[in-house]
Amino acid sequence: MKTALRIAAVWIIAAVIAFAAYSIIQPPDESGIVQSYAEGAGLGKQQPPAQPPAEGGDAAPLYPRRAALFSESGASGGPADIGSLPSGHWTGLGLVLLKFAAAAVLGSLAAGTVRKISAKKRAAHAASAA
Amino acid sequence: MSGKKQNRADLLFDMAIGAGSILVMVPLTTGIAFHEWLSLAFMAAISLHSALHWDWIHDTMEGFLKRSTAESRLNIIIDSILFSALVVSMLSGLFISKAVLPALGIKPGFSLVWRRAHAAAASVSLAALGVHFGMHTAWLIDVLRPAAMFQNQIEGERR
Repeated sequence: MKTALRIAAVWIIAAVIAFAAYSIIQPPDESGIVQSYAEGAGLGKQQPPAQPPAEGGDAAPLYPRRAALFSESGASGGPADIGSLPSGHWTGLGLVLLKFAAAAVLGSLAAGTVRKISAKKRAAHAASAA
Repeated sequence: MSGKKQNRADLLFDMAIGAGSILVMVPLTTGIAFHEWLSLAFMAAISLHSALHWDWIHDTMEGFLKRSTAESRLNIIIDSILFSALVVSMLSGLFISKAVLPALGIKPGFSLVWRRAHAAAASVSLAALGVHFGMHTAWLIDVLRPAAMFQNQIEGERR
């Protein structure tokens, strides 16, 4: 019961943060920008196409990764599904792990430094008291 | 549950959250649908994690200026940034959802602003999550040490 109430409190805090973020970020009308962006990603009409399409095939999208992300099939098991992606997509996982590890080292160093400073302060305080 | 057992249960839960957070950060590898559904589960796990550490959050917030240690203060600042970034990630993710909202019969529009907000919030989340993890390595080592000793003891008895 106590945990359930606390979870509810966490969601209330999240809702407040979300509302504040929505008020700040709330985007202007961007239908024109969206259209050109989608075309750039290879989703909309391409006039003129970036590359002439191969015989019987579609024009290659300008940004294939974005096209894979935003394509309709990506939502229900298409090009963005695990296993069907080119191996290059696994480098994304490596990069994320690398960034996470770098941040973890930074956090560990920060905690260690703060602990050392606190210990020194305590020792100095104890020495002055004695 | 004894202190050690509780710590180990916490560790297992936190490790699961950590692994989930890494998977959530790579939508190009896992696929958009998996990314979105896992994000929802991840947010639920984060709320449970926060609820389980509610006493520490409450005490640190309450004594932020006077009682709390410098390490606790730094921790709570990082955690606040992390939680806010996760909430913004979640909100912006819903606005550009390709799987969760359509599954509920809602078709969201495509917004560049929300996409950029999502990418920025995700980057901040990843950095803050790494720092959060790094700041708890001492605790992690403490929890793992008795487990390793217990394992050695069992192996010694078997010999």
